[in-house]
Amino acid sequence: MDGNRRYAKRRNMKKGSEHSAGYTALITMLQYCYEMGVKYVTVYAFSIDNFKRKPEEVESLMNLMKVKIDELLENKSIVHKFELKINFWGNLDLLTEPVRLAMEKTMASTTNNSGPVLSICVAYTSTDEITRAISKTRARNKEKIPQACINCDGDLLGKSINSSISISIVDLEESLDTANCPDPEIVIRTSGETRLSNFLDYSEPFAKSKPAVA
Amino acid sequence: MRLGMKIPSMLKDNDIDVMDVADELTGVLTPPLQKFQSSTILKLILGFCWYLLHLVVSIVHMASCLNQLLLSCIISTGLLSKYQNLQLDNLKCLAIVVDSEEARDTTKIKQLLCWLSSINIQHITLYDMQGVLKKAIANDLKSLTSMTVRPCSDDDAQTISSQFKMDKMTIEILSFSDGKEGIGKAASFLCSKYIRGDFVSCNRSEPTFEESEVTSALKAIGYGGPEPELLLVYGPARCHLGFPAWRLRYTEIVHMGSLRSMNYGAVVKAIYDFSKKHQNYGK
Repeated sequence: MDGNRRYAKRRNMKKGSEHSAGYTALITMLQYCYEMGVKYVTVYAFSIDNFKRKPEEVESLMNLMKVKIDELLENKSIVHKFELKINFWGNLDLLTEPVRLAMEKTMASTTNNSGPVLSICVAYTSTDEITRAISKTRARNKEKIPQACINCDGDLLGKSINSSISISIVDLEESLDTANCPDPEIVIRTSGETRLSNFLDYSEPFAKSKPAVA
Repeated sequence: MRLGMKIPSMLKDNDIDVMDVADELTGVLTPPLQKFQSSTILKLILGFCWYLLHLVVSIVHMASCLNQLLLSCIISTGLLSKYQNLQLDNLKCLAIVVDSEEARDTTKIKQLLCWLSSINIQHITLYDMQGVLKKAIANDLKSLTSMTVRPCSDDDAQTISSQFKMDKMTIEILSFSDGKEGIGKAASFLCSKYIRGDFVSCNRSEPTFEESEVTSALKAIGYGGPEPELLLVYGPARCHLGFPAWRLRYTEIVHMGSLRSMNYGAVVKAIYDFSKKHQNYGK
């Protein structure tokens, strides 16, 4: 999702309403996608780079996100209409607590839904996703190593340590946020720009990218 | 609506009864018949509109392609002065992604490199998924240039990336193994390094890495390299075919079509359009 501010500027919209307009457009597009039978949709809502924006804009976006996430759980929302399963991908620890809790609640309440999957990338970049996956893989591998320790004088106790770890691509991909979803076949950027801006760089080697003007 | 029938004015009673029954039957059967005719006509109209829309879109697309082709030809002739002096301040590295089948045409690749050299591009990264370019081009370039091979060269020369210096231009050749496999190896490198470090210090804190550490690891094992500002894709599909994800964050991606139909004007136009781009980097 890109180009909300440019869209609002072109139409002389009231300041602060650009992202609400973007949300409305998103829901419409999601409706079309699910009616056409698309099973997995991933949207890039907020990048880690977007934290560089003015604090008031970031705060406004966080508030909007909280309100709209709460709306998703209402009975008449698109979630209930299509029985969506919702994922939130990204470094959620960077978000404010109310937003993070709302996201966790939404994921928990839709986890058993059998309909299409909507994945929303928030506080996300592809390089951060890969870095966190490496950390998770490291934590998993750490548990497999035989226990050994150094005493206060610096002498190695116990067995000698095999300090060489080999991590396969499969190990790494199991730790990605995108692990349970297939790679996308199409990527659409709504502003007409022709770059990925650190979105799913790892997961979309064969995705056809299409810039579309909003 | 009654089916068209003219009833003569002088009718006997029996005839009128028969006519009444006929009229009643007509009244019962007409609505479904009307509906059938209406829906068929509606379907035909909708179908016609659909094909008309397709035709309009196809014509617009063809016109756009012809326009692009014409502009490329004019640019190639050098008639348009604005395309002659390209601003390359923001273009430190240009990447070319080629479909592996098309990459076998090494003549075209060499021609493309010559064009880019004439435009004074300083660093070019060539990529194809299957490593065809590493096998086909690398040998030719070795004889023409001074070659440097990155560290950890215990791998097969056909699978590691190589860098070649040609006058003022550096050419780097990559394949799929430099992408996901490179990240896997960097992960192994990092984990091995810190597992040892954790045991030495009995550090039991939750292990987390930073992006800068992953970048350093990639460089340490020879999978580092500049992030191209512009990436030109030659092939049937507009996708990057597994170009190393770590180097693709803010890269402008332009689909150039088939390598067979490449032309100098299109390359110049892509670079010119890039020079006019502005990125906010999230701000």
